[in-house]
Amino acid sequence: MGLVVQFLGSAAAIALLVGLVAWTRRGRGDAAGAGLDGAGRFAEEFPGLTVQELWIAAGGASALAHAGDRALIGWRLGDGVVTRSVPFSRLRIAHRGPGQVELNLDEPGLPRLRFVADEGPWPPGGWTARAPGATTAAT
Amino acid sequence: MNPLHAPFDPVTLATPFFVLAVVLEVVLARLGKAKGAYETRDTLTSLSLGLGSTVAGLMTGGVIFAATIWVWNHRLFDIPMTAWWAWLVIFLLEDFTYYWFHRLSHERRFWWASHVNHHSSQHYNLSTALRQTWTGGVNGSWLLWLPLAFLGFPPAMIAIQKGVSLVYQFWIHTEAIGRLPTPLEFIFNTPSHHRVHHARNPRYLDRNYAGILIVWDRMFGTFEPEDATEPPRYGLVHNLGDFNILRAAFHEWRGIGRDLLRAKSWRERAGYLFGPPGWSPDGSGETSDAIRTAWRARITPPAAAAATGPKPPVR
Repeated sequence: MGLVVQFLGSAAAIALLVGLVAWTRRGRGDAAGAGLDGAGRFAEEFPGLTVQELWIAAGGASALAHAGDRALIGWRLGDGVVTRSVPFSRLRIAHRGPGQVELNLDEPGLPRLRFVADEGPWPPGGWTARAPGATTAAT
Repeated sequence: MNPLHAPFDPVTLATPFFVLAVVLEVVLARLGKAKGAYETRDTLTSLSLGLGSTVAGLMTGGVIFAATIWVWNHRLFDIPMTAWWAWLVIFLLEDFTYYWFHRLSHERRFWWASHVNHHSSQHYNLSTALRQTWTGGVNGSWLLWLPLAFLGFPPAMIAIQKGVSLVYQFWIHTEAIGRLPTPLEFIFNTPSHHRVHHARNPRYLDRNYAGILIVWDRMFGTFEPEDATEPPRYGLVHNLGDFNILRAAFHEWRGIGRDLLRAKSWRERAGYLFGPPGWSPDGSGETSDAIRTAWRARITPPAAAAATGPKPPVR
């Protein structure tokens, strides 16, 4: 009985603390208003690779880049950013659905990635560097 | 004092302090009075993992305690709980044990699989301290503390000292405290030293394993000071893709299982299980050493690299 009370008390304390954090973050947004700077982030995360083409989602929620035979993928997660470097060929096995692309990188640390994408080619052919907000992709 | 029953549990006593300290850090960070970043879902994940860890610990705690008592019943010496010197010695020995436990937990994948969730936040705040393992009781790392019982330290004494270490390590999970006076930074594990430990910058990977005393890292070559010109970037080499607590708790175990199924030889199975995290059969894996070596090669000018590289034999 004591353990149950202790468990419930801890759960209540968690709820209060998480509520406090949510309250202090009102109106501040997830990433403090910052979009994902694809080029800068990829250069920092993958210093040995040179980005040739870059595709940044509207609002900067995610980015894709082509670097040699690698595809660099980045997306915002809360205040943080998650990135991966995968063989470019992996993009070709993505599942193409209406208005989105679903990518399974077969990694226990990742869920299936979903990119909202227009009806253009996939992987995005003829990528060109674009400013954040200029395209239609997002995770 | 009953050698089998601790008169108090430091962690239980400190729990209200944990809650108040988190509240204080959140509020001070929000008011801009202290450095600190909290994200709602990240905090929920950290605290939920902490609660889950307590529940998981109940399932294995009995076995661990029984094993400790069995070993203590075959002890070498009778060490009294009431002697001051006994507390001094167990403080040093327990902290020494913790250093090697923690080093093992980072440098060998089987134990890293349990510890990884503690490092899975991209934030570094007091809630991160509570992001504790769910599988630490089943990986056998508790065996490392049995020699203390074999020496003769009563199980209650070991439990108290382990609790003291855990409580100490709570307050160092913060960005709100900068550097402490030099003598303290030299001897003790501090927020500055532990920020390095939680960083994923190549320079900082697998450094500062200390529990309370940083001197173990200085002695065994794993110490790295915080460099003001290189702020820590927190999290994992490959950060998790969501805030799912089950993924945080078990993803490395799933990864081990997947790799074992794909392994082609016993050498590969051993490497995937007991090699360093990131190990791969062809040596191309992103282990901490490989990442650090690549980083050093990038920052070292070619001339300097040549000057420090292998010298031709002198004839």
